[in-house]
Amino acid sequence: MNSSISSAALTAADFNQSLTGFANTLRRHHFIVTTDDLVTAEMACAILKPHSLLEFYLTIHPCLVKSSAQDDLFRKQFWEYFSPRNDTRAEEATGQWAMTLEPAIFHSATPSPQKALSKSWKHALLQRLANGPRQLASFEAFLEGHYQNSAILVFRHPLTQQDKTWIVRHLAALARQQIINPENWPNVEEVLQRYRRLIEVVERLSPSSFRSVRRNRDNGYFHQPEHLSSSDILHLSTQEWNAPLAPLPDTYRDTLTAAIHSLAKHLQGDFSRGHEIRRKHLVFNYRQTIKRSLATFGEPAILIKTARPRRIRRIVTLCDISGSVQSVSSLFLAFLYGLHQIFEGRIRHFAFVSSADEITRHFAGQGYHQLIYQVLNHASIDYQGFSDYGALWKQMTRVYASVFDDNPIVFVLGDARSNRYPPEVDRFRAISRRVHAIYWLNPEPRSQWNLGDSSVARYKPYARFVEIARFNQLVDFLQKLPGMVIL
Amino acid sequence: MTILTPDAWKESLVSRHYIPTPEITIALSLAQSLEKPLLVEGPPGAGKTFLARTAAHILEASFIRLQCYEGIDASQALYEYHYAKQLLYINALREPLAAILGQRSFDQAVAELEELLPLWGRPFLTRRPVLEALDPADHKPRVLLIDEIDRADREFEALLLEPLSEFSLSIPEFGTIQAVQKPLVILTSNRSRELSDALRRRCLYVWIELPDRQREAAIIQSQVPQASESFAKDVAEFLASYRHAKPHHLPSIAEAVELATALCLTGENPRPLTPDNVDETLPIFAKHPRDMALGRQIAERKSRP
Repeated sequence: MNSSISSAALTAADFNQSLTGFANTLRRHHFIVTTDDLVTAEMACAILKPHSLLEFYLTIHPCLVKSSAQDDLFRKQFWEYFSPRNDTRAEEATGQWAMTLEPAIFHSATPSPQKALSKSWKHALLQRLANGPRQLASFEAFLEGHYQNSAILVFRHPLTQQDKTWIVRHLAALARQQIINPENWPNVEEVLQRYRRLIEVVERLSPSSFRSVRRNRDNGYFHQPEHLSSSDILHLSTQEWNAPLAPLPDTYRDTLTAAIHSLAKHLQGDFSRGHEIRRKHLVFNYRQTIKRSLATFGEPAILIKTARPRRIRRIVTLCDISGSVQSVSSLFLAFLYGLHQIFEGRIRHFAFVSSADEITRHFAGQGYHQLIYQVLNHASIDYQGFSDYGALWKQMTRVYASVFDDNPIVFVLGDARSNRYPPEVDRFRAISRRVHAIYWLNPEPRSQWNLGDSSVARYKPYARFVEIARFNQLVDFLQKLPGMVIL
Repeated sequence: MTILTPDAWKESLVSRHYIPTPEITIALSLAQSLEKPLLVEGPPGAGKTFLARTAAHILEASFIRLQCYEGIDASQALYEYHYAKQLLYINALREPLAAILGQRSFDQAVAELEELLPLWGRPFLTRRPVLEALDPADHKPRVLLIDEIDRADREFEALLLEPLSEFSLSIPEFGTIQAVQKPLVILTSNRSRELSDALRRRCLYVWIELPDRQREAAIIQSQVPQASESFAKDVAEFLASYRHAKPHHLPSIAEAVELATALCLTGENPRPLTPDNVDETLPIFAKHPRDMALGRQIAERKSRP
């Protein structure tokens, strides 16, 4: 916390006035702030009368933050909202920042050929930008043609940070050229707006943004958004641009939810052979016996036997979101989302690549689309790393050992490819002994399970492996699962 | 119950050997002022339960602890009717009541029976921790600790919503009992599962982390009278390195204090932790075979110049 940031000029009234705006900012980041919370925070300010930003922060924190998962976001947003900052956006809008760039950049040659991918939009765009269009109209036409391609190709071809910088700088230089030409002035604002939007989009794209699901609907996966028109692309929100995974369509999710609901009937209770076993283990219930005897004044006393309290089954999910399983990541996340809707409070989710992070918090009060965005942008995971199952088991047994305490059912969603890292089978075996069952949903075809760096053979004695590469396979699995569990 | 300011809380807690962070004192003060429950989350052994107990001492209030577990229900947490007592009374009074009520009409007999033997009244109501906190028999202030709420089932959280938001309890056979003097309610959770939003919304929230070196040294100094500043720092430093090495079992604050106490037990001056004497103290903080080796390693590393 930056304790040096405090402002004597701020008064309690200022704080209260700012509180509403700050709450709205939090809400925009999917942070639930109810009116009641806001009133509580205002009352807290009235009681404690904070005189600095730090005191203000400490006062409203217990009123607005309701879990440790919200803590980081709250802290970040608070200091961003209340700290003084340079209005870079305004500078950018007026084109001033472009003027500050070194002239050499404006006149630099096209990037070296090895940087430009052949037949890619990047090469073409840079080439054209380096030469510079003579007419605004032609430039607009040029952009118009490329918006469509760029939107699609930008998903497919990862750009390096340097590439993106090149594009942004060239666009900025071009914008300046257009602005200083008086003939273009009537249209300058519009042109500038479009430049700005494109620049923003390119600037915000992260390397992870280029992943996409490229299956077609017949395979049960969502097709990538090739249908977007050029105008749609400009109006896409940054969130949508940054969403590396196209979400599963609603119709598919409905089917999935129905299958999970059906499964839930078997999972809710003892997760055993239903009532038969429980009926055999009836125990004498003293309270109920006495209570029932009241009706007959204790004569005759009717002995009441009841079933032992139901042991509620808990579920743990471990989902690989590395590049090697990206084709099914959105399907897996939809599955987890469906599970969470039913088993909320009894289920904990972890996502991993080379290390794991608990993502249960992202499921709370979120829609499916927000979930995908949150998981792929806010989980503490090295998305660019290689999946390391050995490291996962290490982390799960050391850091998150308690999640396996209540004899839960574990779903592992991943390809079991450890990229030659040690698979730590002993740790996996130790986990398997502590849990009720482990179901491993592997997106790879069975024929590839034991090839290359796959550790399926090592893990197989301790888990049930199921091939889940398509939507229908998942639904089938869910329908068969209760039977598998009984066995 | 006296409402304390954050500074007063800090002073009182420190005087009772609890070294708080500003977040804790502000949250406690607000919980009192706003009359809202306080949800305290943090890793096991971070001092959540001790905080509630110390708060009760400071406020000179009776401390009621409700330990949650899987399967806990209303009859163990809120209230229950004493059915055996009811049965006993009915049997004992059957004949006298028959003699009194035998001459009355049915309606009169029912009305009189209600008066003579209020089977669903307070005499037959067994107070469980929540009811005891809301409606104390001795009318003294109460601090209610609902410990490890995450161990209870989700359905149990719903039972607590009314007491936590309204400080009242509705009993179908009896009516609604409203707290005259609202207790300070502290809920703790180790985050073994996510609590419901409904519960969180009704509470103020504070997260207590395991202490950093500085705070742990201050705690040791405060709780172990023989510990000098440098000794407390050494122990805190050792434990910080040990926790950093990711043992299976993370030592709690209580274990840190026990370790310091054990090192102070023999001789006039506390012994520093060395590879020679680390084996004697390992059972205090290392609770796994691998952790014991780790403890020795850290002690050895620390002893190197």
